[in-house]
Amino acid sequence: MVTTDEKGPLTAKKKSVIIRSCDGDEFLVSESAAVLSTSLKKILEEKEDRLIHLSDIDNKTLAMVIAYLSTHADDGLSDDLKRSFDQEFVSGKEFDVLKYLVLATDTLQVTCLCYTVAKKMADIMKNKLVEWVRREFDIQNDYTPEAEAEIRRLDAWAWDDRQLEDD
Amino acid sequence: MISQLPQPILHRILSLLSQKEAVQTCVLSKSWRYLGPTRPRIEFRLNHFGGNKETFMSVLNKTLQGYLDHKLCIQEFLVEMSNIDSESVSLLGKWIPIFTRNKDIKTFDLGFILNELAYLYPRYFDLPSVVFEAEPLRELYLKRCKLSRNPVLFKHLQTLSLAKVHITDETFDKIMSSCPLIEHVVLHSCEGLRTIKVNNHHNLNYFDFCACAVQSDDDYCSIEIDAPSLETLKIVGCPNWYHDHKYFPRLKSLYLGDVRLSSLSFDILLSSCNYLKYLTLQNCYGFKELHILSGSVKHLSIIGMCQYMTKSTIDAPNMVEFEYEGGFPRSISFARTSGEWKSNIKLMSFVDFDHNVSSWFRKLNKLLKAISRSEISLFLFQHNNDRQEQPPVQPDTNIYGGLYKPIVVVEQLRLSISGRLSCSGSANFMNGLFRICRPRNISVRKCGTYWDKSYLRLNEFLCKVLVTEREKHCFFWQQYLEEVSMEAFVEYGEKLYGVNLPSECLSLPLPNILFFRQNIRFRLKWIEN
Repeated sequence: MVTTDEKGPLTAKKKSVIIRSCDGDEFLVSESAAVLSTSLKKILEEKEDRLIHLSDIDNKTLAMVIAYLSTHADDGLSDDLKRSFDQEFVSGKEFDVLKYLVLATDTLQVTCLCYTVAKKMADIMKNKLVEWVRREFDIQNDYTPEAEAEIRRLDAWAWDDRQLEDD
Repeated sequence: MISQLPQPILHRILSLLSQKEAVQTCVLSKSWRYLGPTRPRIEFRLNHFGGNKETFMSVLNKTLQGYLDHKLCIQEFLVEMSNIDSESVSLLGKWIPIFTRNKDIKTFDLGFILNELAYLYPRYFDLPSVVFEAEPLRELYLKRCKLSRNPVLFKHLQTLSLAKVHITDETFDKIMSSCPLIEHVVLHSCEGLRTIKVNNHHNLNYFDFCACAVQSDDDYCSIEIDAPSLETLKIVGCPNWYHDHKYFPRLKSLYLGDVRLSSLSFDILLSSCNYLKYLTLQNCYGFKELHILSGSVKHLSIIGMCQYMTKSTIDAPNMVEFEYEGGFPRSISFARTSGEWKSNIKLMSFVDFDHNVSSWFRKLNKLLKAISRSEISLFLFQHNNDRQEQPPVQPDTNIYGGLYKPIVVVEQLRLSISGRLSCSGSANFMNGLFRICRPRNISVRKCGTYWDKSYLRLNEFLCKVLVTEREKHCFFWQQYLEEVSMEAFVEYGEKLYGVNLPSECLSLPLPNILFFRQNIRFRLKWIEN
């Protein structure tokens, strides 16, 4: 447990926080990085405690979010570098990883990262066949063929140029 | 598994898809039946409907009715229509008040793309004043709308983008003064603006102004912008940009087109921008000599103005890319350049090859010498007047004097020639060119969209002198060629993607190859001398 040292210089006193994941791993994070998350910022403003326990974020996801926050809190990095970091950050990640990331960033209110991850997920779905999306995202088709055809008929305009793809 | 995500997050993901894609997710499974069509964003663009206006209007109407019936919120309202006719006016007049009065609307984007029947319809859509009362609005994009004097109730606006919008100075001032948080302002071809004054906006980082086509000098808009937080500034078509004593210490990108500048004020401006990376000057005027002194600029573009300057000096030690477009500069020099930089030169000239060529080549040589330390990409746009065929010039008559040594290496040479080009003209041109430079790649580009003869002729000529008849040594420079290969390529934007030509292709007549929408590039390897 980290306690605040009342006599220490102001900067040292507020320097870092410990964030604990739901599976018990602890991460030391600079405060400047932590406050990029709106909800962590609120917690830090409300209580003195330097240990924050997050009951619904696992260690792997938390480690990724913290890597993101630390990179974005680094004043030495240019905006261009940060942008390319963001691209790198979401590329090649499995869909499940993205899913936990989007949930975690939503909880922690890290707006930019949440957007980047959601965008990545949307891009994965873009221009894909229905069958592909079902398979990839593990969605069980519980429609009868008639019901599915009926839905397509109702919104025929959205399927105009897609007739061939589902054969 | 994705279905386990809470609905607000699924909505957020679905909001990043097009309307069509979002609606298509309905068929994934029963739990997805209503997710896509209830996302907090509607985005209807006529071109997504293949221009079918009837379907577009009825689907839009039905969709909005659905949102109303089920009390769904719309945070982002994006509609792009065609003509401003009674049908579209009544549809928008009905729905805009309903969806802007709620507390959700954050983005409002309305535009019209007028088609060829536009003259039958009003040129601007009278925007209902209710949009200005949408307090939570963050982003406002309008195209072809008319803004009347309204009370402005939004305070949190961050983005304002107006294109072909009719707006008065007063209304613009009012919007700006109501929105201290504004970050992004775009004004393109707006009518009615005479004086733009922007100050006291501490978050403003992007300002882009482009004048509409003006009839007389009185119609010009003057701009005074004082925003030290600006990172991107683009001003096109504004003779009166008051920039004295204005500082832009955070500026990264500056684009000035048709702007009157004085030599002194420009120097001061540039010296205050320590982070400037992209600088573009297009047809700026007001001074005779151009000096660019900047330690930070990496990409410099000078378009259509150096030919009027008596002298251009560029001192940008960190420059990695130099772009030039226009006629021959009268005098251009580079001081302190970085180790590796690229230059991209697009020369337009309207002098006949058959006529006054020697001075043309002298100028080209001078320009190439000035940039010889860079990796050169040279694009020559040439227009030949339709003149009578010249008497053939003997292949190696030395009408241009000897070789200009040392010969400059040009990485990419692109030729685009319109009008009539005689065979002797082509020969003269190549002779002159190869005295000055050693291109590693040569390709010919079409002028315009139609099939033009000079494109074909020049390609045929190059194929003859570079490939099939190279060994004949009709021209002095053929002896310096070590190897020539041909490849077909496709072009995306500025980039070329090579496709190797199968050898049997080379036996085909060239027009056949060109006909398959392939362009040809000649790769030249010269003997070191």
